[in-house]
Amino acid sequence: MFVIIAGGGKVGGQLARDLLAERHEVVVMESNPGKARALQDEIGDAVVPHDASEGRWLIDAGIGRADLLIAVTGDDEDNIVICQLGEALSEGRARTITRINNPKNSDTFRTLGIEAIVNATDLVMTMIERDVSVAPVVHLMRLRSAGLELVEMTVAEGSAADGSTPEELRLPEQGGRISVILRNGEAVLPSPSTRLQAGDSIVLVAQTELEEALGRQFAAPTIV
Amino acid sequence: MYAIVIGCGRAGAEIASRMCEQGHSVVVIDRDRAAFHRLSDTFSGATIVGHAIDEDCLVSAGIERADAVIATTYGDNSNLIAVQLARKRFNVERAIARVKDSVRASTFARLGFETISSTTIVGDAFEQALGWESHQPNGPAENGS
Repeated sequence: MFVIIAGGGKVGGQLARDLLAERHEVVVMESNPGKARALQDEIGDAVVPHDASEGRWLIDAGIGRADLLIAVTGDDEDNIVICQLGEALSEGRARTITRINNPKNSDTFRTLGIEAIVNATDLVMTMIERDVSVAPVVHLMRLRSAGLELVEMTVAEGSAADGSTPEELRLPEQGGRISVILRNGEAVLPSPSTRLQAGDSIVLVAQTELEEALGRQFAAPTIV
Repeated sequence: MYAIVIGCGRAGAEIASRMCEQGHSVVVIDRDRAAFHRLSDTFSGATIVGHAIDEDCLVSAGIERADAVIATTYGDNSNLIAVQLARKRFNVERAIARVKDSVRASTFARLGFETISSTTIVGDAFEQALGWESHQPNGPAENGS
């Protein structure tokens, strides 16, 4: 996945590190030269020292082929316009996520049709995982109050889950319980000794916070 | 016409003063009270200290019955938010944003918002003064409707 992050402050920097660690392609745009240089020293060429709301720089950064644009500058107006500009310049290809600094502006964001709104770093990460799954996880239902989610995961070839039983994967300890296995179009009720196979779809109740770790068990060894 | 001019820099003060001279009702908003000194001596409209995208401020300026909103602050993005609010939330018929970045101006014009890019206009004017044909890549920021 190719992600452009507008704003290289605390939030943008942390997102960049996390996404790079997950082997995503990342460009961070930061107009403050000092902040840009500091981030450059750490993550190198992935930093573009320009304002993301400046059309030509957003085009230069590759908005035309971006999968995701995350606007996390300290200025709400900038964040809205960056998202709108990104959507228009990518002809709707890039999904956009933005951050509200001043909660008073959240109505404004909605009026102007911004897709996703968050107001904290960890929430941004949750949104990324939910909307554009890092692991092959499809969200079926969210049980908000309980902090649980019903998700569907597909067992990738060569993944930890491929050939293992739920017991061997120690899923319960990891915060997940398999409800049903969908194999060759048929639903199989799992026992602790049922071996999972590549291509199986697993419907699983998972703790929201542990879901990313769970997803890794089902993903192919190299996450692209 | 009842018009709200946001931003009282040189451009904002100029258009506000001109509109006032032509007999329109004008309210000017700027976050800095000192900016109102730029208005002409004969300016007889109202002035409000406030922020471009603060809805309470826009309402107190009478945006609900305004015929036009002209956003001229130094911030392209503030101007773009102000005209979007004017059009989408308050159904103002004419809302025009000053946008220096020519790409941003043409992009938002395509999205249906009226923009004026001072950069493009000045570039065109220089070319014309030199007797050259205009061939800048983004095209002029045509008005949305």
